[in-house]
Amino acid sequence: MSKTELLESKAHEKILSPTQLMINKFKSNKLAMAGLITFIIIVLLIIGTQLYIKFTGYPLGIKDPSVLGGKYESPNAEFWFGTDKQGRNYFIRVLAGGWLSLLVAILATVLQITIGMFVGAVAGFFGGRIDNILMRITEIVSSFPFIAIAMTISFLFIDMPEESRLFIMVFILGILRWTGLARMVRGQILSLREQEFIVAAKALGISTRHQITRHLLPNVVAYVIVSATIGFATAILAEATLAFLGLSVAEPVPTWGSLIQRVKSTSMGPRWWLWVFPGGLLVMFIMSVNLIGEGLRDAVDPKAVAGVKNKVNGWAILAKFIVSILLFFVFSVFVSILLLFVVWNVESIYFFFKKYVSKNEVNANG
Amino acid sequence: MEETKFTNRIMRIIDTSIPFLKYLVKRLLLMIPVIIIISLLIFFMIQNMPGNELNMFFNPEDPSLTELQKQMLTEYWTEKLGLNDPFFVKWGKWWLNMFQGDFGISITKQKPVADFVGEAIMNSFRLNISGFILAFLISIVVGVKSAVKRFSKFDNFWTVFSIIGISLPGFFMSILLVFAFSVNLGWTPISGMQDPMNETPAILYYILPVTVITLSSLASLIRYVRNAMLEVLKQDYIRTARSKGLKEKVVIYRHAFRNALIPVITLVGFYIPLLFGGSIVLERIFVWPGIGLLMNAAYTGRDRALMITMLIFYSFLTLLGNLFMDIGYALADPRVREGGER
Amino acid sequence: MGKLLDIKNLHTYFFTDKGTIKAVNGVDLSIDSGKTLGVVGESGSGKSITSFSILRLLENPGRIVEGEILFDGIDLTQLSEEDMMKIRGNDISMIFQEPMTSLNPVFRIGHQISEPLILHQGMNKREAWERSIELLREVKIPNPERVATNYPHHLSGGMRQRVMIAMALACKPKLLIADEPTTALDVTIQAQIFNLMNDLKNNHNTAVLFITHDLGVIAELADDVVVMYTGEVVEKASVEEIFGNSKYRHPYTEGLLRSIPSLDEEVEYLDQIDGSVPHPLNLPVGCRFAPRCKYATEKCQKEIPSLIEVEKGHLVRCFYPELRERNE
Repeated sequence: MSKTELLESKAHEKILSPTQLMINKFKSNKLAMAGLITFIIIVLLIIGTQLYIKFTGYPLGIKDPSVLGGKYESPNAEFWFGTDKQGRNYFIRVLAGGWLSLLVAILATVLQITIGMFVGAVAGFFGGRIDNILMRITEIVSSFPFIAIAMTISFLFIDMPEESRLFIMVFILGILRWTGLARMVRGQILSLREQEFIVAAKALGISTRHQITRHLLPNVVAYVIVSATIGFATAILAEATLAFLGLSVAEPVPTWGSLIQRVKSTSMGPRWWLWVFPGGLLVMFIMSVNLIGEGLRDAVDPKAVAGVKNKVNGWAILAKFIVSILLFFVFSVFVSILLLFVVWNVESIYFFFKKYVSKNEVNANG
Repeated sequence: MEETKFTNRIMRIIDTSIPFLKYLVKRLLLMIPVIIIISLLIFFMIQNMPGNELNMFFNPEDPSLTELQKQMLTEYWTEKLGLNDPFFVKWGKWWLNMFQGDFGISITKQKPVADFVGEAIMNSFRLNISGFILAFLISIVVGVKSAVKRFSKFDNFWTVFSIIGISLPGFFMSILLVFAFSVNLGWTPISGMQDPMNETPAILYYILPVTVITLSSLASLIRYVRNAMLEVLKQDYIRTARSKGLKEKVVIYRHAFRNALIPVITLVGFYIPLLFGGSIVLERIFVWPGIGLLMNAAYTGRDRALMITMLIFYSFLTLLGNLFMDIGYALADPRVREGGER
Repeated sequence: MGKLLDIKNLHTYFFTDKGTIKAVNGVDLSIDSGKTLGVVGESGSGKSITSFSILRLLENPGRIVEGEILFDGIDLTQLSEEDMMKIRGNDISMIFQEPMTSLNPVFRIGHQISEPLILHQGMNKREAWERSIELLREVKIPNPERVATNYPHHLSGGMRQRVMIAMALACKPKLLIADEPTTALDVTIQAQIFNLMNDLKNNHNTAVLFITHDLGVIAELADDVVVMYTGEVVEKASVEEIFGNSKYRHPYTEGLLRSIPSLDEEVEYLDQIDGSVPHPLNLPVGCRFAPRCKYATEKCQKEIPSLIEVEKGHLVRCFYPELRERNE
């Protein structure tokens, strides 16, 4: 083997390593993998139940006595999670509750990320007065007390039809929770702006828009995905909390928070299944997302790569970019689930807008 | 010699404090437009809440009232509450009243808001301060130790603990604790702040809510302290300190921790609003007569005066927290203290 | 005069999940008291790890696995952590590469210099403060009373390195380890720091272990030179032999010397050594330097040369140490 060949073969090995490292790092993180598996199982269960409800027309209300059991049956072979006061199958209700949490969380996360990334990117890239104004807006929004303002907004729309409560929840969670991400993206961009490759892009006369979309955003994407995962977990938690306060979607559509809400200290012991199952599933779900987020953070963080100092390495950036694309793919699967939901519920969305518009018209006339 | 040293020191203090004062004043002035905008937004939201405010003061369907009486009552309350004023006039009047200590009349309690809000704040504060002090103490000890013994069993245990902690919603944690300690074991009362008969000691009522506050803030605090500490331990000056022959304890608790404290102080600012504000969820579960419970009552009773007061109070606290964060930064970090940019 | 520091067959390994990195692999070197030893090598040659090994400042997962570090006849590798603390900053002290980050940003300069004085010399706070002002004056910092009350961010890089030197010399150590103390500084400041170090060394009769990647610096300061490559010593000689017209020379040293610009000769391009230091987990089978060596033969690719004494006090790790031999 000649000397140059020897050198090249070594160089080749070095190039592959960062990507490989990241994937390996996530894979070798047992906690993160456990989280991923739990997450997939729960999501599949939820989607399966939802499909079952849709295609069999399973009544979530108390219309059809054929699917009802006795009042407060404890878990048994027919009703795995027992039954509630009306004798409804609690297993179906708990998993149907997850569907709503999932939807609210996905939509809210998409909204948060869109606003956060947009504000952060614009503020970070243009700087100066625009940055100042945007950061002041961010400060205002972040000094809103979350639950109190969520309650207020939710009361503002209290006359809205039940079907549209879902969108109100998404609106609340999305509009109040983007500030952290905006700050982070801005900070990232401010520091990236100073780095050589952006200076080089500027020197080459590449347009501003092009600089943002092609050069800066890909670098930020890895961080965004990590914070999206964490934001997703927080959104589930926040939705459950608001539902617990009775502010989310109401009967007969169940949510985890509202199912747990009904527990009274007197019935806690004898009717344990009423709060243990939705609560347990909720905690497992949030935990699985948090574990995935932790794993991603470690895998994407250049500082966490053993022995490598926090230097910007071209290959590491490329590797991050590739991992990000893969993750975006997973993310887009979620968005398609969402679209599926929208298609299924066209009538209710139409209903929502119609009602809203007609209400405004009435107000204008009166 | 002594004298020059003394004057040197005085000069130093004056030199360093003037830019800091300037910074503080600038920071305070910047808060004014923010508070105005926030109050406008909140005021707008509350004004647009569904429901007629008049109906809160008399029942228009009341059969005992004649048409004339109804009309007179309507006129009286419209005038008294200033319902026909333009938006900005209402808003201005409200601020004027605020400065005079008049926060409006609560319809749920049937008395001025100013009369009972103070006690609720104190009740929330008593609960939260104990929880936060505990949480901060534990998290500093555990966080520093986790960072120093990174990847040890101790560290791994607390990492898993933290992940469980941030995944456990506060309300579910409360339910679990109530189920275990109040319902099953009967050690602690289920809810409330005091025994009406004075038979159980008041401290028992504190145990569960304080535990929930401590546990739920502990999870993220430990992680935060650990990460801040890890970041500092990597720094070159830690190696310098070791090369001087300093004891490991001195290196960690004096040289490293003093630097890790800078980001930790930011968190104290973050917790200030929670300290006085109380938690809506927690106080509802434990029926704790604090600010959170008041907030719940305001919403169920559609109590506008109370709602506005609470919301402004919360926002003001958050802004104050931000300010405190900046001051804290400045006090802990000589680079910021002297007006430098971070 | 006896040897002040004598390192014998030192092995320092880093145990990572990807494999064991042999950062220092059988290094022998020694310093007489009052002398300066220059250690030269590219980054990754193990020169800094050697110095950290002496003070036992290695961070996880690094460990000394074999060898002796005799300091004044005591083996430092066998000392308890407590005894080691008494040596650090007192008998052996160290100056680091990055003056900008090597001082603690939240403590005053005076406080940081006082620390070792209080610890090792038993001074009280006041005495230590006075002494640190004297030390600052000694390293030629203007207005030392004021600087002592400053925080590190008030000072420039050169000033901070002076503070580091003052701190390192506070307890009059027998050995000073300087790990690329001027790499991060401007050239003009570099010269000032060298002069300062030379003066102080002569005044205090302190031995210096000077680590650098710059042979030019070595010519100015050192008495003896050790050239390191991939954790091994490849050449050891007096400074005269390295820079003079010795018949023997390691090809790596030759490459390093060629890459120094010279005023005497007019050349179009400076010579450079092709390639880079091999990855520590992927070392060549034979001579570590063979893949980059112009003269490498079949033998070099397969067998590892050992360090042989070619002249008195001049050791070279090469099968063909003689310059004449190679050019054929």
